[in-house]
Amino acid sequence: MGWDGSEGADEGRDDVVAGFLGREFLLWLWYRSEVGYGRLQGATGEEIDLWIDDRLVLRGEGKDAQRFDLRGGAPATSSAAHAALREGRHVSAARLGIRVVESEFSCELHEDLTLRSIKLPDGMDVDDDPLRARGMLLDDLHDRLDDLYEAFCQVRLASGWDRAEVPRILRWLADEE
Amino acid sequence: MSLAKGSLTVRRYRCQGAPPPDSAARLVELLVRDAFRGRLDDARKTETSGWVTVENLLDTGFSTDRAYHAPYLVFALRTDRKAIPPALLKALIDQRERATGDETGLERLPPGAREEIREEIEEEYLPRILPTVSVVEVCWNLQRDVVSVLSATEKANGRIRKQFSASFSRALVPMDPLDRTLAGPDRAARIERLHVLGGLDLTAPAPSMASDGGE
Repeated sequence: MGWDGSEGADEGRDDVVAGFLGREFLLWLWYRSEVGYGRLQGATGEEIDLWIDDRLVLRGEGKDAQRFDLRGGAPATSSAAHAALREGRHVSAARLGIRVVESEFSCELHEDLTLRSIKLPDGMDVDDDPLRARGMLLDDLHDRLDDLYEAFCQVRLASGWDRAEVPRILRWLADEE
Repeated sequence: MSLAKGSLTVRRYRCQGAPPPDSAARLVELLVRDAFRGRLDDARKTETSGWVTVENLLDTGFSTDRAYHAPYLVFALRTDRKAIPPALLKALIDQRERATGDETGLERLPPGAREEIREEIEEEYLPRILPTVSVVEVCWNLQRDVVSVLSATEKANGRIRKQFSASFSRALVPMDPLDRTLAGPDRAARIERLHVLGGLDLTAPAPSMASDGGE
């Protein structure tokens, strides 16, 4: 499934993303942004400043599961959000802040990898043609998220995931890291 | 939703098939060919679609200067739909059916008469009704051959995919962030690995630092 929630090219991959890969990506972004003080490294090695902004949605399993929609302030640092994760709820959506050089982007990333409500920085310092400037900024944002997603998949598909990354995530959740 | 300002929701596609030579100029010619041609007094109730500029939904004056913001070709799909509100249409048909019955003295009208009445009413009223107009912008990065559709709804995206294919003879394939991850010689092994992964259990107790095996 794409950043837009559209179907992927290979049969069977959608289930994986819809099942848990998208929500684990959101969790990983949250975890890495907190333990790395907002600085994440993409697959290309580029450092990207990312933080969970003013919205975080957590929910349990099943169609009628309770949904915690935490808005305003810094929901990612709240004890309610951490407790919800420890109780088995997963991240369903988050509003992300992303800083590239001096430009700040904001967007809502959902567990099906839908990217919504994208706010682009003022692009007039990039180009005096506003459509070209905004097109370039949109590409920049997608490039960064693609880069982070690839970095996540590399970690997720590596043998070290269960051995190293999962224990670190659990300790972070228990406020030990 | 406009590329020029405000917040955006986007679906991305890559183009399948060979791009035309002399891309931007040729593509603008195709936009002109398939520009929106509907009329506000149209008597048809079906959808009418066509390309318009992003500046104004009434504007179909495409030129390379206006539509091409290298490397982006920017345009929009306008779709007009006309329909008499269903409850009003039913009431009008019932009323005319009764009047026809009174005039002809027939208790029951012949089969198909109700459909004829419906067509008469639509012909009479549709030219007087303003259409519901929707506009969805498209931003095509010709360098990367990637198309961004500024809408998340499947209906709007379906219309764009259909019109895009008709205009440019190229299919739009949804972009998938996994494509990049899975690229390379070990693609098959990675896909296989994806399918045997289990979801993360966060209710498990946190292990001590000593049990951390390292990456």
